[in-house]
Amino acid sequence: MHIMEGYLPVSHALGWAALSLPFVAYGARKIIRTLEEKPETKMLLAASGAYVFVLSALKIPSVTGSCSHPTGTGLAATLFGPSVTAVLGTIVLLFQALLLAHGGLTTLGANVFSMAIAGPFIAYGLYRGLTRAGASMAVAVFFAAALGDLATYCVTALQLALAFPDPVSGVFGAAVKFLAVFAPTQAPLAISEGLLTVVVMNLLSRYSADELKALAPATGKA
Amino acid sequence: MRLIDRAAQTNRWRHMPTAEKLAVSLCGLAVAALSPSPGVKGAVFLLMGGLVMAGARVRPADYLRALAVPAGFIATGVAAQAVTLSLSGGPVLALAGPEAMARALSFAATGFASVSALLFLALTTPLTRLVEWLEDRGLNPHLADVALVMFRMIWLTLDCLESGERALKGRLGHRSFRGILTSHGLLLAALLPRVLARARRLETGLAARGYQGRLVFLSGEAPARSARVWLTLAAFAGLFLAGHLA
Repeated sequence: MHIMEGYLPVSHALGWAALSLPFVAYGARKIIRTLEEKPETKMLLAASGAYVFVLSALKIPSVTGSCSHPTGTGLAATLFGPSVTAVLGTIVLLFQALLLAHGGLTTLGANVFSMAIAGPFIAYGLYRGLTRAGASMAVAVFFAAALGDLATYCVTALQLALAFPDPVSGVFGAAVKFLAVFAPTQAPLAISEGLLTVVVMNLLSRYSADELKALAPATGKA
Repeated sequence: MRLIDRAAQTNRWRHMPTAEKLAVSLCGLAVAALSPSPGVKGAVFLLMGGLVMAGARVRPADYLRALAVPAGFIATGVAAQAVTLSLSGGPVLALAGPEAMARALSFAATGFASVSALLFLALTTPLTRLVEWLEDRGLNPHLADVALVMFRMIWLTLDCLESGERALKGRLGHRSFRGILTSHGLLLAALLPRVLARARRLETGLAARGYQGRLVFLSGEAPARSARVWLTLAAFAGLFLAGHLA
């Protein structure tokens, strides 16, 4: 769920942009250093970014019967790592604002924080934590993708609640209200996205191990 | 998905300087965000729509289609603001009071004015020009290159995705929930190696043409005139002040 252009008060838009900046700057520095050392990885990174953009163009069925777009945060974070995903996600969100009118320029900071930082970092943390704890790859990928997706929407709801507290019940009540608006579509969609990501990762690790190895230096995971 | 890009590449103002169009759009966004007057927000919305349709000659049907998705998002947000939630004695949802309603409508007006300013930029300016403009203003050339190549690859990747989806649908891969998930999983898993292979071919092709690590794209854009940028700033400042004084 993108926050639309002009929807946040100016102070909130600036605050979220300031909060996102260090993450994006760190990821950008990492990418620039990699590209200076290995210029040949530029095309691979660009291809990865295009893949992340296209992920959000795919419509997946929700278990309630409706269709929606996946966030792709879990898959992107698992494949490319969270700091690279922060930069690729920022470019993708800028492109989505200017090519699809989803999101916006003033709300870019808030959208980057929820979709390119909070979601991917939580997804990646869960993936690493669960695999280290001995969970199978399928279980780790499922929880990383599903909870990364849900985290994105919880952060968006919190951002909206902070901007528009409920006149009666304050920020908490507003957060409950916004979460209730998103939950009927997002909770089932998160489960669908988790299942889809498991299928994709299973197939990639079985048939595309070479490609995943090739990505490692480009994303700094080597 | 290609609607906005097609309009940006074919409209009458596509060769106008990016800096001038960016000034109009950013001033529109600033006035929409800072002005308390609903009349000024309405004026920004009408002005931006008028410039896009009458000035840049983007078809009204295309403009309305581009506006439809953000309008849906704005409506959802307004609906959430138009109700209040009381948590004492169990959750009770009720229509918000007149003050909250007025605030919700004011944010809807801001949303529509801001979206129209964003659409002005998106529908009149090819994305590659914006990235090049950012690079001229100090964006790291490596990051600008990644964004430019990414922009080109998006359409190729999207073609692969759409044709794959059609093929899987034709083979009855969308018959059930499980079938759709498996089909989409196969499609995404097949897409990544294809995209990476394409990236490698592009890199080999560029290397054969003497690629030194910098991609250069031709642009037929006229240089920006600072007088026009200042005139834009003055016009929007006047609009903002008019709303403040009214």
